[in-house]
Amino acid sequence: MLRTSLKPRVEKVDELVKVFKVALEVAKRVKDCKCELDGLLAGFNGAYIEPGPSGALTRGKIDVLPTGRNFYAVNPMAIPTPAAWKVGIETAEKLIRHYLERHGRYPETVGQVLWSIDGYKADGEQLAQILYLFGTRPVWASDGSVRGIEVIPLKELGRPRIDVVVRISGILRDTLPNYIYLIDDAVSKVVALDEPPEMNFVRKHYLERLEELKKLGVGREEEARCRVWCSPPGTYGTGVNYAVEASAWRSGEDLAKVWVQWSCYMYTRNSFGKPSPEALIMSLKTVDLVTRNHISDEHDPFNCCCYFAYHGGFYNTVKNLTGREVEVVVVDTRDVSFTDVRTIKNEIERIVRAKLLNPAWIERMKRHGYRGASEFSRKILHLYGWSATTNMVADWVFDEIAKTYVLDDEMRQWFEQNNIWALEEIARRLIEAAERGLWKTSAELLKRLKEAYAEIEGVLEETMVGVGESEIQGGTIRLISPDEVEVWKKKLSEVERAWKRVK
Amino acid sequence: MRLTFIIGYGGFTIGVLSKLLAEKARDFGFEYIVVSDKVCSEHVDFIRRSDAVFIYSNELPEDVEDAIKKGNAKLVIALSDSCSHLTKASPVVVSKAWTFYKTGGEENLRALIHLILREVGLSVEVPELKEVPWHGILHPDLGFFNSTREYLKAYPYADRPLVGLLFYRNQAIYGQLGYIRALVMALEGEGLGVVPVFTYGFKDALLNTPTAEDTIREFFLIDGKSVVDIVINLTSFFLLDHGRRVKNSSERFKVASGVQLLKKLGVPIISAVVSFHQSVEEWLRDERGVDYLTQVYRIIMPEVDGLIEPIFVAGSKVSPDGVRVYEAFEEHAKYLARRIKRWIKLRRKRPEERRIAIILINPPCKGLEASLAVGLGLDVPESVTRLLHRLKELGYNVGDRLPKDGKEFVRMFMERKAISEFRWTSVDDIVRSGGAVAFVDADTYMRWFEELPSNVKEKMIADWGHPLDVLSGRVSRELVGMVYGGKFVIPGILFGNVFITPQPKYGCAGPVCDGRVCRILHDPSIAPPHQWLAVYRWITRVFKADLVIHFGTHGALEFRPGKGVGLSPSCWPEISIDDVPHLYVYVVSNPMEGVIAKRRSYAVLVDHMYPPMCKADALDEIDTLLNQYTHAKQLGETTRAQVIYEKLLKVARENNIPLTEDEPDKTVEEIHRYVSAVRNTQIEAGLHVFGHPPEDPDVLAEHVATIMAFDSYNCPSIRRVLAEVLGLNYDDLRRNSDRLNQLGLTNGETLDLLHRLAVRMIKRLLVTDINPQRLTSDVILKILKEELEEVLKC
Repeated sequence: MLRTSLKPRVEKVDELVKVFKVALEVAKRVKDCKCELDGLLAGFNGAYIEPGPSGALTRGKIDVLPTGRNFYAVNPMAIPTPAAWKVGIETAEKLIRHYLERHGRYPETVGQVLWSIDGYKADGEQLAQILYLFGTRPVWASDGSVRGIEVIPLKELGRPRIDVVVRISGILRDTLPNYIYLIDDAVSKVVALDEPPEMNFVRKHYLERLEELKKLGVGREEEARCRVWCSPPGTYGTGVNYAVEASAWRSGEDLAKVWVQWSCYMYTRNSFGKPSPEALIMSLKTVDLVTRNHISDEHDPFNCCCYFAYHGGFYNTVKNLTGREVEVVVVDTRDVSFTDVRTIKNEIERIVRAKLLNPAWIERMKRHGYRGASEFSRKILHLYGWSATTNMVADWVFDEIAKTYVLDDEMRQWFEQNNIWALEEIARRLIEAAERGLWKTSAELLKRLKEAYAEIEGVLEETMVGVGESEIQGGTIRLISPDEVEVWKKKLSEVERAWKRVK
Repeated sequence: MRLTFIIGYGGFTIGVLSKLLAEKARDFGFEYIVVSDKVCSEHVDFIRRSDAVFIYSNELPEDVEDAIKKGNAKLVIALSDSCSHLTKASPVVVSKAWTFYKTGGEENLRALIHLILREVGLSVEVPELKEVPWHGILHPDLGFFNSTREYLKAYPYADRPLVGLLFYRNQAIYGQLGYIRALVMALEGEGLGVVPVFTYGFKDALLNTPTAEDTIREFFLIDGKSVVDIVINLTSFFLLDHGRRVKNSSERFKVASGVQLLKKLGVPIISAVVSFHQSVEEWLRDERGVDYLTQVYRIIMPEVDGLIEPIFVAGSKVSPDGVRVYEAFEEHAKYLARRIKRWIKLRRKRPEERRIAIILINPPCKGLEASLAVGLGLDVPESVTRLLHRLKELGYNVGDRLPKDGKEFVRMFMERKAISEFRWTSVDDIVRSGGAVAFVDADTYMRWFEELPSNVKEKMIADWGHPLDVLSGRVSRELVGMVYGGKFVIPGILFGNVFITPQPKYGCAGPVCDGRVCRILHDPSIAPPHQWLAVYRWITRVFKADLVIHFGTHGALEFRPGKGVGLSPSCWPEISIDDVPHLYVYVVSNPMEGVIAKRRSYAVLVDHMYPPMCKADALDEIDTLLNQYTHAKQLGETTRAQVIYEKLLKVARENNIPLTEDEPDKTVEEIHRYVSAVRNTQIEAGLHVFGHPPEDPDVLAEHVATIMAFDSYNCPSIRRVLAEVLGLNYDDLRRNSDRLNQLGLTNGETLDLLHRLAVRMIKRLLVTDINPQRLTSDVILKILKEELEEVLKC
């Protein structure tokens, strides 16, 4: 057919040579990772270990290789970069469109899970997105460092200023505090603008909140202005992972309160972790959309518990607080030329299919025996965590996971030989999902699952337990919620009170 | 006549200038002020009426700038770039003033005053410049030396292991040596010798001053060999030269050529933190630890040169006369000295004597028995096993019962139950199966416990009960962890001098996992339980590790409570790691947690690659149907298209593809979008084994093509370049993956084809082992044509 027309264009050949030189350079650098051991052994000698950059190979940072070095991070002063700013604008617009198309109105507030990965691996794309949602932009000095924030006039913006509530990570708080300062500066500028409320949701919410806070007598300007929230100083995470993993919850509201307890600390130019559960809960009430940027496939949402605990936890809190339907999405900037907005449901299924249910992926992991099995159980545990926080893991997903990992004889044997504890963890979480009603499946499948579990438990009891005299928990799932534990209840009381008053 | 001197950058010369100006004012009868930039606003009137103004400051308050611009001064000498627009003086005078001021010292500052007086019309002689060394050795008790040999002849501790200090010359010539003295005393107190070296620190074009690199070469190397075992750097910014003229500041965050010099020196370089913005008091109170700019200038930038262990050793405060004065944090001077002693001990021991503790990441929340030795992207059991074998070859004492591979490694741990207690593992089982290498009794533990700062002890008791109550079971069960016979259990396995242990539990205790036991869930700030401290202290005090390694990305140590960055003796990561050198094996794709490990647990990272990647390529059947449908549709085969469509719907439903649209075209588009999102996912092909990258050309080629699949800020997609060379519109291929293009393929098929083409071409180049620099357009075109034919055949 037309295939004969595939004649290489001479004018593009230089590009071709260039890109294949890069490819060969990458391959060479991968091979050079043999020297990782030399780096480590230099450490054994108490010698100097060479520094090297860090970041995402999938984003063209080929100089992170070869490894075996003591990596350093980026220049925080120059975030966001002008290139990331463009991606920030584009993704902010796509986010708004995503909501507009589904709801026929602008989102008033976007909830953002913002981590340091944005600075360390994505040049500040999500920070840029946030600044642009506010209708502000960074001002750069001639050396590329960000000098400050400037307001984009409404005329130029052509839409209302969208409000943002940001849940940052402890790492971002500790190592990229400039993010806090830039967002705080942007908010301070925007709330001071004399603009109608329907065109400036940030100011609108600020004024409403100021009123409400004063009425309750629990805060003033700073509380009303704060848009950046995190756990107490010196702590990390949102707690929701612990609640889910320890089965320490009975309702979505339990998880929501844990999320608030771990998130109600204000971070501004002037405050470092002053608590205000009321102000946080107030700001969650207007959230229409909860998002996080996904910048590279070197991580996935099942990698660690923070994904569901921050992002799913955020969504779960807003949903339980307001009873409204809230959108929950990821902004995909893996390919800076083709950014995308995906629902969490589709994002979960993307990774389930690409990894957990992909025979090629499974096969590769199985080669690592016990360690591969721990990879399976961890990812499935986190999948369960997404289900607990968003209820967006489709029933078929759990069906297929059960069939692939627990009900398949060959797989079960493999687990028994390599890491039966991982199989137990997987099967137990599936049963927990079914018992909590997160997963609706056929009675037949559930019966088979429980039989398989009993068998696993039997093997474990036989091989693991016996020599000692103490009792063990085994596979027992103990559902416990905050009101059943005195110390916990006490710790949560402030949040309980704020929740009731503000809700 | 009135003279104004505004001195910024800490105002170190204010004292000397005040003294000199007082003398001269007596002689010549003029009025003057010497003020720091911070307080100069208070003197606007005087400044406006001044006849001459001398400025050495980065920025001036607006009112002061205004006063200078509109004031009386006929002579204004502004020495910094940011104020140079205020200058009213000939270039000759400015450069003379620069030379006097920068060379510094009492005599040159006096000369500077004379110069100014002469320029405003007094008849005074301006003395010649007096040379003052740009770098040298200055011991607080022994004074100045301009060579290391000479110094060592005079230094009573020359025969001890030597520690290099590197600090700014300004501090040497303007009497800011208080915290240097504290460090020297602490180090000498530990039985070490010190080579305290000051440096100008960067190249001044006019004065040809030495950089830190020059100083290192001059004072820390003799005959090309290091005279010191370790260096403490006390200067700011990069240590090495990163090209001061590079315009974009981020371009300077690259590995500098000076790394070769540091490799030659071959010693750890500690980046001790001196705050320019906080006093010791302020820092102690500050939950952040150090402020942002201190973190950037004293921690983040030095890290680029491989500097380690950002330990706060001094703060500063402004004295009444506007001078910023440094003050040592003595406790950390001593802590640093102890750490350094351990580094030197490690360096000087022979491999067979070295004692090493390897801590395996073992998160209880993921099912403790299921997740021993995890780490993002890394096969830790296999990696550690291979490391042990390598250590054996190098003469380390690793015992004679090494596992042969990762599988056996895991089996050894699980058979002996050398782990923490959990759902399936009671502490009795651990002890009876041989999983405990040691026990820590109450007396020993109490000795360690009593050393802790009192606020830490109180919090620990509040959180977990008194240790004696825990050990005797007088507290409720959820507070008791890893206690057997009234002692704390230290689980793990000893391989000769190598001790391998799972990381202890950090937020819960005991064998149970539930909402009562999960104490960290109740309180994010909770201290780690007693057994945590028992394990870490046993490693450093009883086992006496010369080196601790956390093996695998993201453990619990670096996330324990304490200040953000710039920790104190009350912060848990510092308490836990004690004074032992600390290596941390970390994946290079995780700078986020990695920098926390560096800054909060004083770890030296040794990074490793993320595993090789490949395209996911799942959902083949639907993908094929999608393509068939598009073809049929384009060829106008409506009936066939309808049949395929029905089948597509059926298969999509069977595969649980969510279908929300009503129209066929929209449905197909929806399926396409969903399927291509899955298929374009880059997945890891297994796990990486430390030091063993893939060599198989198939794996390597797939990896390279996969990681280059997307456009990035640094490099265009390899598929884009191929598409464009072949005259295809890549943007269209990506945006409309369900359309047919001029090849008679769907855009989706074409993208797959381009990926396969890239893989084949890379493999071809790898197999022929071509030198990348020799890659010519002829070679690549030939390969392109041949491989294109091959992929089109398939």
